[in-house]
Amino acid sequence: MNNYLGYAIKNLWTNKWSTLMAILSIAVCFFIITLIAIGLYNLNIFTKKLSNKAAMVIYLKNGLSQTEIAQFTESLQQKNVFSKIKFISKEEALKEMKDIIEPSLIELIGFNPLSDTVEAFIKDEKLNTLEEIKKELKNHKYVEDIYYPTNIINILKMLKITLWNLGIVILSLLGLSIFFIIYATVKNHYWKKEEEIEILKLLGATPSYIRYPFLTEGGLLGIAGSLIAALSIFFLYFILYSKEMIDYLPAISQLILPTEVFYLLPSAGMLLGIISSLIALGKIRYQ
Amino acid sequence: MITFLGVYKYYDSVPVLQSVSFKIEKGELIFITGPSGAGKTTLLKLIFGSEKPDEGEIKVGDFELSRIRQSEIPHLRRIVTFVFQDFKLRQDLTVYENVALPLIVMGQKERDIKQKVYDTLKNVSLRHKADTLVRTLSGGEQQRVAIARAVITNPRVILADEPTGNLDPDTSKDVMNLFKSVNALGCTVVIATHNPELFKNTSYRVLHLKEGKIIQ
Ligand SMILES: Nc1ncnc2c1ncn2[C@@H]1O[C@H](COP(=O)(O)OP(=O)(O)OP(=O)(O)O)[C@@H](O)[C@H]1O
Ligand SMILES: [Mg+2]
Repeated sequence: MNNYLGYAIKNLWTNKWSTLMAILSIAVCFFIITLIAIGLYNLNIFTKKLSNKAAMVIYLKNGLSQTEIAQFTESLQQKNVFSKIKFISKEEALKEMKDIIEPSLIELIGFNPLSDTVEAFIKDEKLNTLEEIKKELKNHKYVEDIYYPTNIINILKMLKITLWNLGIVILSLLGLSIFFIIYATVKNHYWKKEEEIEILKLLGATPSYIRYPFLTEGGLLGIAGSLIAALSIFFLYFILYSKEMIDYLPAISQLILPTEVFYLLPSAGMLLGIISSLIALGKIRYQ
Repeated sequence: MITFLGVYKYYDSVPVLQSVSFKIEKGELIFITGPSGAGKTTLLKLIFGSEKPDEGEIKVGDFELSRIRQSEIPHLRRIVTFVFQDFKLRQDLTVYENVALPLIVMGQKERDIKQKVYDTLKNVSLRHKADTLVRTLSGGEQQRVAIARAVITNPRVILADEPTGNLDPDTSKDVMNLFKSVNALGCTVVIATHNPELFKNTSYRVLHLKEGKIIQ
């Protein structure tokens, strides 16, 4: 094993320019991959937060008894699509209103124009189920009206799906680029040694004996590239999180860097490197 | 040790070996001779698994070469070694490194390798050239390095293609003596040559090939 590693490093050193170019290209690809992945991760957190804040506001008919209201909220609970159900009596609503609008103006009306409402906070559910529930509730005998920000949520979801799809396409393309970089580099190094390898085959070298140094080479290329990418991400994060940056753009402090990146990235690099070089070598044939 | 039974080999549908059948016993030293183009090299390649027969059966030890899988070839080459006409040495490595290569490939320990390489180099009278680059050696010296590399793993069969091809008579005799000494240790030796001097006045068996057929 030691032997293969030494042999692989020596071989990479012999081809140091192509090795360097390969590692830098892989690093750039992995860097962009990681940025996109972190972006998508944050997008998920952001939309989840937002949709948890979105509530269906249900205006109840006047004159419902306590038990009827309790019955109604219970039925909502059973639908299992709401994370939180909050009943606001019209008295409470009025009190809240007085905090916003000049109380004397409200006194002027002489009666409480508001209705009892239920705010139902939505779990991350599919939009069409929510639409159905909305329709069903609208026809409920206790319900006067219903308000739900379908459009905003709709746009948000569409945006999220589009960004995810776009992200995945770019991630795949970059992953493919890394594959081809390692494939071409290892294949090139293999061809340069073709004569040596032919002699090894004549001396009874097994396919794995021939392959190991090149698989190690591919793995090392992958690890080196991904480590450079991980370090760059780390530095970028430090720069973004500096006090000056956050003072300038406070939203940055909301960005989350999953620390898993620092072991996922090199593992992915190594795996991709080994697989790419395995495919680059193909079947070892004896003559 | 080696059995050919009705073997045919074609190159681009031109027959190179036709209905070749023979048997080589374990521990035998045998010559294969015939004019240029008779198929001597092809016959050795078939024994080495470099080529596959188009018809017929070839058995080497426990290996059925007409049906051998690619993955078995390295194992065949642990018991059958080849001294190539053009040596196929690593010109960029030293004599020592070339002779050690088969042992390294087999995964032997460095300490064992050292001892074996020096012993083998002594047998081919190249001990003093151990650290010389192969590319600086004479033809006869390279021939002996090739033989050393072929014998170091104690194979059961050694195939040699024209091993005295361009050597002077004295050096040829030395090389032949090397083969005789490994044969004396029980190794089967198959030598392809068009030089009758090598087997004249010897009791060794000779297979004559002509246009791909065995005569006599
Ligand atoms: N790879 C190949 N492709 C096509 N024809 C080949 C190939 N190898 C050998 N031949 C042909 O097969 C015939 C036998 O070749 P082979 O090398 O076995 O002869 P040989 O007896 O070793 O001759 P020499 O004494 O010149 O080495 C020749 O006519 C040669 O042209
Ligand atoms: Mg020949």
